[in-house]
Amino acid sequence: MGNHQVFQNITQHTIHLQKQSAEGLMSLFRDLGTAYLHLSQFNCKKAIECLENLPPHQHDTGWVLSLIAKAYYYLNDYRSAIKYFAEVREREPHRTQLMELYSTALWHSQKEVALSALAQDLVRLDRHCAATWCATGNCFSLQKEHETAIKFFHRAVQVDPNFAYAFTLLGHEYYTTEEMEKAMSCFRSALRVDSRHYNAWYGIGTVYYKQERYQLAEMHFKRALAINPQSAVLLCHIGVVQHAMNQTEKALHTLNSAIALDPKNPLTKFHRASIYFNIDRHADALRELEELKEMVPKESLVYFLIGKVHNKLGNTHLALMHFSWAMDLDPKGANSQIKEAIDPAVSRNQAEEASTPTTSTVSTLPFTPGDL
Amino acid sequence: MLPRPMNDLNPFRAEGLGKLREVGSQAIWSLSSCKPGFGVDQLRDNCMDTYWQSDGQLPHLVNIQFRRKTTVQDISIYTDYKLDESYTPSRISVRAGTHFNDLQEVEVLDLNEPSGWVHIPTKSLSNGKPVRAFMLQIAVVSNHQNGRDTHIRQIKVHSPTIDKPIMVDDFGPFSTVEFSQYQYLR
Repeated sequence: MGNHQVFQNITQHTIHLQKQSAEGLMSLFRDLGTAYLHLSQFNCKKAIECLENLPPHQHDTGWVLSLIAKAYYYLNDYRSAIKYFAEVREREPHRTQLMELYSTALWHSQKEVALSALAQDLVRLDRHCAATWCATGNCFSLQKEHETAIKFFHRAVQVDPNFAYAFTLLGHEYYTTEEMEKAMSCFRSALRVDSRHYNAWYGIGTVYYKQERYQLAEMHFKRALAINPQSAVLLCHIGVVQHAMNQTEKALHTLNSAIALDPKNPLTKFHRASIYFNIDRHADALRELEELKEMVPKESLVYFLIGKVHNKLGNTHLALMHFSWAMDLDPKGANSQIKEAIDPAVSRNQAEEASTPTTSTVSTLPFTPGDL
Repeated sequence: MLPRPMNDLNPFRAEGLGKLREVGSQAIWSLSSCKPGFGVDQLRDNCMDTYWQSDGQLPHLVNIQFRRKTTVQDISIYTDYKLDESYTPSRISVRAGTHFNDLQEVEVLDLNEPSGWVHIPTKSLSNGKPVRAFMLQIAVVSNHQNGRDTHIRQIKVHSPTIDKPIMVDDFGPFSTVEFSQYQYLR
């Protein structure tokens, strides 16, 4: 009897343990599943929250970390994405999944060395993986060798014709080389593979934008936004298109919501400042630009735009000061346009012709035709 | 009161408002004939004391060839009967087209002892919008008092400006990664 009792106790205990561990496993899977669902629906912030709440021994795995990195990537937070991807590579150097996103994040942050290292590692690891050739293509794209990049993206498409992102990257590359027709067909191929691939919708939008078919561009950007509603960059593009269509109020509204979504994105604020400048809200523009100066003290174009605002306000002295700062910060890049901005400022000041339009390059007539 | 249509506006005033631009400087000018030292330079030098003087048979032609197809709102011609008398044009024809061989007349204007600017709106015959052309030709068909050679002191060509907002794209590349990383998605 005694033995039987003990045996029963042990069995019960084991069953209990088994049940517990099964439950634990189930709850883990449930958490992972919820997180994955959130990520697939582009609720990136929620997905990150779920994944961060996992127990450490699950959290610190390549799969989870790469999902967190992916979520940050979709939020356009490339720095965090790179941080997590780097950790993935440290833990599981053999992992090739999602490495195409890592390479693009590095591309965005212009980290040439890390990108080149990643590309070489991947080539050594697996030559039959699309991510490998995407990374290599990105590497060459960053070096401005777009023709070579196109070759590698073609290879990526060849090794895996069902990999939508490779088509998109190829499309973006054709876009930079201004082959719009080819870019368009690449984006369409990407959508054929995966219609929820928002980058491709965005890509089509950029092509239309370049062709100045703004309505179509807006439509496609909105399509992309419907898939990934939390992307401040997408919202920013929509705002720019609306501005191009002279729908200034709408554009400002869109940019405001983009800034609310991601207050750290300086580009959106810069666009807003330029719209303020356009509609002669100079005080607002200056306030915005001052904030930007705090955020990114080394951006030449911020100073350039401040200079333009002052120029329009008639503060020639301040304008020239900012133009020369802009020139100092970017001595080779935007040089010519800054010089151009400085020149009419000088000549107008000397002539004291306050009413001359800024676009006019024709010298003033020796008589006053306006009187005729 | 209805707002005045733009073509009623004095072209020079419209230029001051940024609605029109002088585009003659983008074109290649040629003349059917000229007396040495009284040519294109004098026609385009913004000075009313100098002039182009033809040296040949009527009609006298001014050819204005653009590098690209250009919308032309109007042509302004400065002549002065008080100074030039029989050299002053009395009938001017404006033609537009892609090259010398397909010019079509868009406007004929009779002048009566003009002194100062004459503005000739150039509207397309088919749709009434400002004419779009690669080439313009201004022909002096006849002069006052049957004069043979002609004097024209200035010619200006105005093109409408497109009201396009200033875009960030026009500024050129950003110099810091903080900005440029958000410029495109990929």
